[in-house]
Amino acid sequence: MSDPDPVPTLRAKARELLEQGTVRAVVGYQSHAESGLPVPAVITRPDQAEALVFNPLCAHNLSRYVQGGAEKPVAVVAKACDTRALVVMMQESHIRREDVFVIAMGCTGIVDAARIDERARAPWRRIEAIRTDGDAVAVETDAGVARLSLTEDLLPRCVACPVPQPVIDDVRLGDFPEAPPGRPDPLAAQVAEIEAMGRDERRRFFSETYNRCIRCYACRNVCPLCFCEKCFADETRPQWVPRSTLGGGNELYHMVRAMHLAGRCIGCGACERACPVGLPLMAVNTKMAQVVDGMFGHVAGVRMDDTPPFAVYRDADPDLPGHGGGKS
Amino acid sequence: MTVEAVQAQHEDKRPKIVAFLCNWCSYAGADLAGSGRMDYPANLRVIRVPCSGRVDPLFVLKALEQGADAVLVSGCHPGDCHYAKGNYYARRRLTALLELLEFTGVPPHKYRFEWVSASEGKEFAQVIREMVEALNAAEQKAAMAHV
Repeated sequence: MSDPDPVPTLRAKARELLEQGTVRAVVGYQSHAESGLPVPAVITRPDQAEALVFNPLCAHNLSRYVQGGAEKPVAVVAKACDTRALVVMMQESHIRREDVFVIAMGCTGIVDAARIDERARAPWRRIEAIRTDGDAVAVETDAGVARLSLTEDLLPRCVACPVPQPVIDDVRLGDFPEAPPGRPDPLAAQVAEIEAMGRDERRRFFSETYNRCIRCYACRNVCPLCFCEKCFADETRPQWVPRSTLGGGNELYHMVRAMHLAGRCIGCGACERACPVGLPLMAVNTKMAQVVDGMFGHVAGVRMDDTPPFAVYRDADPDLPGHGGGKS
Repeated sequence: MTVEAVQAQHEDKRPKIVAFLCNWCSYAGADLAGSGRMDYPANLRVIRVPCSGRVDPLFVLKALEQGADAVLVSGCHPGDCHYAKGNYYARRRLTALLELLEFTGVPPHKYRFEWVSASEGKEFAQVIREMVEALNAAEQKAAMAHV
């Protein structure tokens, strides 16, 4: 079934779910009132369904907004990659499968919104329409059309899209690519580049990176998998991370976050996009995903029946350096 | 300020190693090294934990951030855990942490994770000697770089 423009179907589905009372809310995308860029929307009335949009600028992973524990589920508009976050949340018993109604949207990649500035002829204030035709995305602004491409202007994590098919869904709208695009992964290339540095150079690179952090915690707050009610960074007894960045603690915060996301990060890149000072936050996350895959054969959120990798072990797990591995 | 710094040098043995030792094996191993009168440098600050599985990577990173020159985490050998499997969970976390420390360029003389049983007093003393040697060598190298 080919459905080149799934938005009318999406609106109809959202309306139907709310009218029938199947869900208590629909989490989707709407156009921002001023800029016209897609932003998250939580709608609870059927008449609000007309506001929903879906286009190649819908970067947010909306599973960030999903909370369980209520009588009725929440419907969430999810790209294939976004469903991986929901799967991890289920594996960790943060939500139950019945807490969420997954509206999976076909997606061939999300374009980097920053490219609109580069491609528009003049400074733009408002997006009037976004039209997709094959690989071409025409972003019609008040200052002319910015032409973006679904091959050249993709977000880094979309270039080698590892999971084009949703892991879970209750309804699928639009067209889903059968297989990954087979392009080289820029995130893996970034890790390789850092690994190619000497150790001292790596230390400098990460010190300089973390020194620039203003500890706004946007990376944590936007992360669909940083869902702890009490984060170690907010803890005051003991106070692991000082309140002020003047007291240090930036590096500790980022290193511990990397450990907390190891084997859990689905690589959505929301942290990096949210970072107001442009830190390359995905480097450690990508590295740790590679480590956990390499050592324990675990990829986050790609199979429903997986167990969180640090909640299990095998006798044959890699051992500490200088030890044989397995039972001694 | 200077006076305190000098005094601190006497009270405060440098380099300082923070060691998280499991109650059942490595702490007993350290004890055996002591009761067996084995010589090893007195640079340790031991924190006894019930099991290596108790050691959150946060503890290791916090100790380093607070200025520990090195951190040691030590527990029972795989298969010997008092709680049967605590050290297997620890092993997954610690091997992953090793990768993160290496990736972010933390010098390897600043951390060591080891299995030491209650009967391995000699091995425990050897681990500490090696750690202090590595720290001294790194300090010397750093000092030479400024000459």
